Amino acid sequence: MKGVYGPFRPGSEWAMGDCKIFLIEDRRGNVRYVRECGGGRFERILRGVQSVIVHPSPPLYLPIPGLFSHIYIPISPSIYLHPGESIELMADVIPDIAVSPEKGGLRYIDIFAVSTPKMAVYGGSADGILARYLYKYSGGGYPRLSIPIEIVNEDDEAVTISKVVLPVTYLDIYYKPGDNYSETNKIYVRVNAGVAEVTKGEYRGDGLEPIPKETTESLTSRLGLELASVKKFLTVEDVFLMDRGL
Amino acid sequence: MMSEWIIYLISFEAVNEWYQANSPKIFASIVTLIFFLVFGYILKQITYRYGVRVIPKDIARSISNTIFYFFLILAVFSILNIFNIDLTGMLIAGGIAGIILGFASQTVVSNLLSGVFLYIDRPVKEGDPVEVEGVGGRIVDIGFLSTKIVSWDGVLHRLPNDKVFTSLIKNFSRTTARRVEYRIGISYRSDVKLAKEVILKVISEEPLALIEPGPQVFVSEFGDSAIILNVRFWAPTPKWFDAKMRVLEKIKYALDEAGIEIPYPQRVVWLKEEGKS
Repeated sequence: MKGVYGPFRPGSEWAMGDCKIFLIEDRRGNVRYVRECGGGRFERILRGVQSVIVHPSPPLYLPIPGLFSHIYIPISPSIYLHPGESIELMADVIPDIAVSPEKGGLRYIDIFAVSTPKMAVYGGSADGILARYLYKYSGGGYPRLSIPIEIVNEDDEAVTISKVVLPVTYLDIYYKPGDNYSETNKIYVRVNAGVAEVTKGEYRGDGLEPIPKETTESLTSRLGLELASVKKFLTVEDVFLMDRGL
Repeated sequence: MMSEWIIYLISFEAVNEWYQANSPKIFASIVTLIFFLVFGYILKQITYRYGVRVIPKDIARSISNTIFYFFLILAVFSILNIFNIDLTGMLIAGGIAGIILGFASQTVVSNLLSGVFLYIDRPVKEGDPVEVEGVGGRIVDIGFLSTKIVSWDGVLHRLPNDKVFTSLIKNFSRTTARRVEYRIGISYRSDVKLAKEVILKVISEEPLALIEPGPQVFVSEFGDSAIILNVRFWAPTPKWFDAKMRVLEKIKYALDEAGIEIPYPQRVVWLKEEGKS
């Protein structure tokens, strides 16, 4: 199958599921970016941009930027761990897609999802955490984002893990132009006394390159938050405590 | 007419005389008043500017206003002192007047105390979407005496603080998610299972409908004219109304497309024929 990621120039066409992207160059040399997804159409004139690059998007923009600050990764089927046991797994999910200028990609031109972006509450509806729900990858030509997760049960009792919740800033995405595959740094989950400590690990892959990242200023306007709030939002806590259920 | 002019001139003379005698004091009073006003205003601005960084905006505003009023009162006392007015007598008189005023202004005091308790308890804050005393809207100001709410139709409502404090307050912004619920009637001829599938599909395709807590669609009642389906799903609290509007419309179109009838109220009428029981 043809890879979804990589550079994309006027005259060529990009398609996945019911989403298509066109780049049309007019007589004056302006490039028009058009995306059609499920009957909807998004259009933008690009000034000073001759080609774009398609890559995975950090999962912090869709469905509504600024509304959530965490990611909810379902572990299905759930994992049962005896005391002292550990497991390393790859959570395969479907990433969002971002389009940025091939050169000087400081601001994303477009961000979209190939499946309906959804959210979930981690914890109770009263005081729970609103998180972006990442669908489990199920093939079908969709792009795949693999998240390596190591879970250790340091408790005296067996535990069942059905989800991993972490701040959006914990995931650094790496991708390969010309492919459909992307992966992130490792995530560590340590279970003890009925709660789990989630920490961000290093990226240990090979041959993949980091996705272009937006500037803080660009992120600020896109999230609709003040700069101070965005900086706070992007501040990585050393440990996220999953204390509202495993 | 003439006598009125004479009285005016005499009084003017008296005022003029008083002014001549007390002009240094008047000047000192004006300087004192300006000093306290300017100093109080600057301190108010500084308190507000730095306060908003660490405490909520409305509380910072109240504290800074209180500081300003404190300096205003100081200015009044200083001016009275300049004119050698004995404050002891005033304080005694003030105490007596305070008791009288206290009885006369119980409601005001009650509102004031309720305002203070509202700040301490903080069941609501500025900007919160609420329903208080049957008024639904957004809080725009919590003052010392009253709370102002702009209702959803854009009308400003002023509610005394004691009413707000003792009322049932529904604050729609304090939870992470809110449930949306519809009761949808489908025809008795319709396939209930299909209808449930169609509705669940619509909900699953709506980004604002949460995956967890999950949606529910179930038969809740056999109505007079329709089978009533209860549809429940959760949406992020800030987007609850958007989700409610969007999904209901999509359900209507989806049910139409699936050939599931939403019936009008019906009544079966039996006509009795002559000679038959």
